Amino acid sequence: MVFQVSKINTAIKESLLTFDREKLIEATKKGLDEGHDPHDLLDVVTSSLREIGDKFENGEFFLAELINAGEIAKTIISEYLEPSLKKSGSERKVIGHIVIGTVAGDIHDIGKSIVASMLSMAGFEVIDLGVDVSPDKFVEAVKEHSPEVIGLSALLTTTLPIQRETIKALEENKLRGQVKVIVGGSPVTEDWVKEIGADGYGEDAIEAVKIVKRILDISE
Amino acid sequence: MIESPKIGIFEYFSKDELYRIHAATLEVLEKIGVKIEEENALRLLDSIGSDVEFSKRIVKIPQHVVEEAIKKSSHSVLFAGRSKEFDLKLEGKKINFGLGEGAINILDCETNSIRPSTKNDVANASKLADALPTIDFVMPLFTAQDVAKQVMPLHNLHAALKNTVKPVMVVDFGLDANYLIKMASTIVGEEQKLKERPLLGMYSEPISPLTHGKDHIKNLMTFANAELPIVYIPSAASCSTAPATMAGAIVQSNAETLSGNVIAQFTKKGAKFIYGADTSVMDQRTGVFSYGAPEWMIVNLAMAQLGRYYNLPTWSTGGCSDSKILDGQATLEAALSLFIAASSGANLIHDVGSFLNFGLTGSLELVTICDEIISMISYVLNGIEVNDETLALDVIAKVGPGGHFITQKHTLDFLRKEHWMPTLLNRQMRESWVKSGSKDLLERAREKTKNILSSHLPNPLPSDVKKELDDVLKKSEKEILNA
Ligand code: B12
Repeated sequence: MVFQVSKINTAIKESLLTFDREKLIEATKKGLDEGHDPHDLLDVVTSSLREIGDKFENGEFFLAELINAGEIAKTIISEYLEPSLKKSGSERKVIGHIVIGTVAGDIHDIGKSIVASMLSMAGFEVIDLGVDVSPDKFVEAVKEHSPEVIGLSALLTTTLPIQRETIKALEENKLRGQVKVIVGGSPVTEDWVKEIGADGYGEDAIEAVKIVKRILDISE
Repeated sequence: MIESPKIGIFEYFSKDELYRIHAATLEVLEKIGVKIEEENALRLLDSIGSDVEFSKRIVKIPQHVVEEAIKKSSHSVLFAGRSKEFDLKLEGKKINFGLGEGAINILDCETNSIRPSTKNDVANASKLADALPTIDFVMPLFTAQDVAKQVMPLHNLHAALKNTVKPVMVVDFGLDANYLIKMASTIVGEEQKLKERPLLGMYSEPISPLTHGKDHIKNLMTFANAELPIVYIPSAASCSTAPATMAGAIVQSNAETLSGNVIAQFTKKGAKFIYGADTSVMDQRTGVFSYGAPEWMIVNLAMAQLGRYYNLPTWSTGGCSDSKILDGQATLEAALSLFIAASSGANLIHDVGSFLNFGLTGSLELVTICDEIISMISYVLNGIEVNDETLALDVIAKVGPGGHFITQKHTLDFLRKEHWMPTLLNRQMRESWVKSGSKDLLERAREKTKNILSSHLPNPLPSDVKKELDDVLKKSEKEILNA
């Protein structure tokens, strides 16, 4: 996509690459005030995120920097760009909706949160249910948000079976047909994925994004 | 075991730094507070003058309560073996070594492939640890993946108790700790006797940052009342669940373990609380929690020194690696971390040889290699005698310039007691090494491990005890799986 390389665009990109929240807010506000198309500003944000993602993959940027950039971008999008899009009768295109959480009895939060951040950076709308999430709560969330995919994280041998129970609960509620299930966490293996009838798993967050895109047939 | 290390104990911080860390910790506890998810603990802390906000479960603990808890603590803790000769006294600078618990896979060193670990692997790990002279306490190393997952912790304990006479420590996976106590009681006959012969310890963690989970606190209180050793230490990661600065991560970790001690000591005065932190760093390229990082080594040095300042028995970690296989990286990280942990003077050093792949893969061969490493470290830290005889002036005069000491009586008198002999490291001349099969460290470790597993018979439990232990396991399993 070609867009006008304006001062605003440069400022947005620079502030994201330096993780400068204040400067990003300022630049975005100014851009909107000056009448820039929020779609264009959004494009700058996503292309900058992609650049940061590449820099992470080649080792130049650190994980915490990547996640910070993602979080700052999320604020800008939800607090400034989306409202402005709505005003003009338009909407942000998200490429999919994902509900994610760590299963009941398990409070390991970090891996799941990194996966959530990366998915959201990749353009998905992510609803993070947090940790210690029971099968019932996952079922409720699927009813409420109608996601295309749900992600179940488990790090303990003792809580791994909850992934299976959650899939069963989805079946019992006749929801399994409308949602794909991906699982993850250190004890998860290919065999386990098959055994419980999940749709996929990812060893890390980068894999998680790839898997979700593959399942939903979204090209890179 | 290093009874009384003569040299090499690091004091990482200056007095001023140590005091600032202590003061900052008190400020965290008093002004920010901790979250406690367990009602009884909240009420308990309320009753002793902490500032409890019940709706948010936030507890602000004043300095005097933290200090009173430290005073109430056991400053010397008995961690008992099945027989007295394996008893450990956790105090001062006595250093003991033991395994960890948690690996999900076992490494096959011959093919470098992994497979899910089984209960038999736990039995073998316990047996190996029972045999190796430098291993002082046993944790199950693996988690049995071939039993019902909800009751895996009970099977782990079952296999450990059967295969070692050394003190046993297990991880609190959130199951009611009374199940663990019941199993260990069978060894001594009845629960009451465990108080005299505390041969079971429990390892548990707060949820960093600054949160105490419900089940883990319940179990901590159960263990405090049972007067059994309880390790309650954070496993925070700098940059993710703790501040990016190591001083900040140490302050937070200190606040987490010390607030655990408050709950333990006010539950039961003199609770056998073991202090420390398994705090490391989140790797910035992969996100993993590193088990080989020098950051963790700093934490080990810091916590041992702080623990001595509080006069609490201390916990530490060494002998693990982030490597996927048993290679140079694995032995390097294991050796360095063990040396640092031992030099910290901590009382219980765990995870010895237990983890490759940052906690997920176990290798019995690494345990065997760590035994050699510890043997070497112990030799160094035990120090040397300096007296008239060892200064050796007479024999130096006798031999004088030139000549050699081989045929001196002084040499014969001392060579056996003065020196360290490898059992695994190779000092052959090249050609004889080639003739004997050109075996590298890994191959030799594999052979030694195999030999031990096929020849060592841990002192068996009397048959009635064994039956009782099996029965308790079966009953508990039924109860949990039917619930
Ligand atoms: C940090 C940590 C903790 C912290 C968690 C803090 C927090 N706020 O999250 C604390 C200290 C609280 C903790 C507690 C416990 N822990 Co813990 N913990 C770990 C540790 C060291 C690292 C986990 C981590 O954060 N890794 C970094 C992240 C980035 O990696 P990750 O979680 O694997 O996630 C990545 C992938 O798995 C994947 N992924 C994750 N989720 C998902 C989901 C989907 C859908 C997909 C596609 C992918 C995906 O992508 C992520 C990003 O790359 C692991 C060891 C390990 N190597 O896993 C032990 C470990 C998981 N814990 C263990 C244990 C035993 C416990 C406790 C029982 C200890 C205790 N007695 O208190 C408790 C249990 C608490 C509970 N009820 O859940 C054991 C489990 C053993 C077993 N076989 O079950 C382990 C393996 C350590 C060990 N070797 O003993 N723990």
